[in-house]
Amino acid sequence: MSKILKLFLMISVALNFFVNSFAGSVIKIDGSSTVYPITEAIAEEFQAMYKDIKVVVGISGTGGGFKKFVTNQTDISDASRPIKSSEQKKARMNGIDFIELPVAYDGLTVVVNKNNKFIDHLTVAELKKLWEPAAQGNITKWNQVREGFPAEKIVLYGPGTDSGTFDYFTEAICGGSGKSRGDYTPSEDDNVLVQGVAGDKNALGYFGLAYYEENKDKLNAVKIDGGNGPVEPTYDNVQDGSYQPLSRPIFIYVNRNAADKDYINKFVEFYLKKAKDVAKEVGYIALPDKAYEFALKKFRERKTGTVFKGAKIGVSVEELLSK
Amino acid sequence: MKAKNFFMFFMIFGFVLLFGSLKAELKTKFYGYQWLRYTDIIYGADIQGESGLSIPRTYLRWGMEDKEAGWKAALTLDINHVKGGQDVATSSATTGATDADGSGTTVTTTHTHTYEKAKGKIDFSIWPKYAYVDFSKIPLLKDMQAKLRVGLQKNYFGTVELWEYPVIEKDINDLRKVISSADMGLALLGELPEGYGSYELAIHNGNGYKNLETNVEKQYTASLMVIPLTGLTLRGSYMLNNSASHGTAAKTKRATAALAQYKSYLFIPVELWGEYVVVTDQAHAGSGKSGCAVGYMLFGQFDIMEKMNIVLRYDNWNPDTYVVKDEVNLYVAGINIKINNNNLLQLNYQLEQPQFGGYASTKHINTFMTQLKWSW
Repeated sequence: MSKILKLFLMISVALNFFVNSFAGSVIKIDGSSTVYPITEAIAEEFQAMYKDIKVVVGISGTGGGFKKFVTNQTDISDASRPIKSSEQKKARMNGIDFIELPVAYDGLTVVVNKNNKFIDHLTVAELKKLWEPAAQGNITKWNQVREGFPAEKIVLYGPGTDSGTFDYFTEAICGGSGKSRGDYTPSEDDNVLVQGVAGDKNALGYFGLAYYEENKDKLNAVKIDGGNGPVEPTYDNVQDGSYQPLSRPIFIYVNRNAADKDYINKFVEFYLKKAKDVAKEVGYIALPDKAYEFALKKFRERKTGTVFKGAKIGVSVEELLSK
Repeated sequence: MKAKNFFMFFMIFGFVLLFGSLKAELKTKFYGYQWLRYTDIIYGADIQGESGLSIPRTYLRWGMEDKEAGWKAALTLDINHVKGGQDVATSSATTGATDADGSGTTVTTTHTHTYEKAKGKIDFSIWPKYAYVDFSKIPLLKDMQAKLRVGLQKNYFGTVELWEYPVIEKDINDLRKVISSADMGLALLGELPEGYGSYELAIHNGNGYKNLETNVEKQYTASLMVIPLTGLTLRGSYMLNNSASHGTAAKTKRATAALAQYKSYLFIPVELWGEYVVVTDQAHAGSGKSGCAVGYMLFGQFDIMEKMNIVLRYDNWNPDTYVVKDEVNLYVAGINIKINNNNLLQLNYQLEQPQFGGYASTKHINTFMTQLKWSW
């Protein structure tokens, strides 16, 4: 019996090896639509350099991506939030360890018209009062947001409901993804939002920080008070973790076993070396150089587990990675 | 719960889902799957074999979630193709006689296999298999990473909750009627920190999902799952079912299951399961019977190719520890071929072997099954 079992196992291993050897090198990635632009851009560059390696990048959302990742269907998962306990449990049950690597920051900016002289900063509570579903039809004049603001009509611009930016903003400000008033002008095209706010002195809108940087001359950025005083939306403030709650790191999760495959190892190293430039190109904020160094070190040492889940706001990425 | 109330419960539940799903901010999902099966059974020489095509399972699932409000509902309808030639009824009769020297009891068990020919017409039944609401933002529970599940749901016991049919046969608990796969009740479902496992505490009717509530007592289950190492899962489950109809004395059924599961992707993807189950049932005790059943299931899955795996299973089931010659062995060998993301082809051979059958001629049951599972 044991001979048969040994023979069976040997044949299985040989067959598996044989099949995999001829299957070609395919890197399977899925997950967040927010992280997708970075991963896709890096995958294109990588495939141009390594023509025999194919990288397939899908968009199933962070949760959908983790569903595949924890059942070994993908090698890498794109994520706009840290892994949850329930997802960790499934990964552990299925024998999957992961390496958690931050790749960039996603930052949002609240903007007003250049001629708006009354808004310098807004607190999170004021933003909530302005954007929560209960505000619809009720909060229509600026003096309802804060005493001292003029009794002028509020005009709002923001991304559409399919946007990851919309999900993030509503979650950070209104306390729930998708929780928003509906009486504003939505658009998936950031340029429409810029034009809209630039054309009305009583208008306010929000979109990605990188896009604001390109349109600084047309708009004013609003400082955000997340509890520690008003903070300006700048790359430095995002990178040092002080611009809260409208900035967050975004991640890739690499299957620990898959990382030992030469072509996946090459891709992740390439990713971490290119992420800084690509993040800027596609509208995100790069991590500090030190953070990429730590991430690369973490990957090379194959350090598994999460340090970002439940991390306190204000703790920098480098601090977390150096743990 | 009376039949009328039972019906009303599902009608109301269905309408809540229907109208709720029309609200834009709710996330809804409609999906399902079906099993198309061909079964060929060969018994002993004295019983004619049978074969047939069947649709043993059609699940229609409707899920709805409002993350903000912290609730999630699910309704699964099980459209069951009643006959397909695979239903075999086995009845056993046991007699006990005191030995001539008075030293003990000789027990004789007679097994009779009967089967019903496939009906000449298609016969379906529809059952609500799951119909529940999860509440995840209840104060205190939320902080404990726990949620409350209300309604018709899984039984949180051993493999019965976790079995996803890598072989066509049911898991040992479901197959040997240790516990039903679903039941109505309340459950507290919690997660251990850092993905180290989970726990489940539940009160169910104790009659299974196809029966109305006739049990004036209830069934209590408790399960703890711990994952001490990546890939190694240990689970202990306990069930206490005080079964009593109105006006009758309660009879207690207890079951304990210990499960170990190991998954690894080191050389080839491998999945190994072992479960040991002990059941004591007052309803089956007396007349030369202990009322105690013991069994175990061993299962292995080996992914020899990316889209193909081999599965092997062995069960041993001793229905009563006092009764001799009544153990049953079950051997299963099969191949699963993943045709694409929505279609899985399963080829199974299984041998059910009443190990020391008390009847005149051995009637090993050889079953060949081919099944296509497709989902949408």
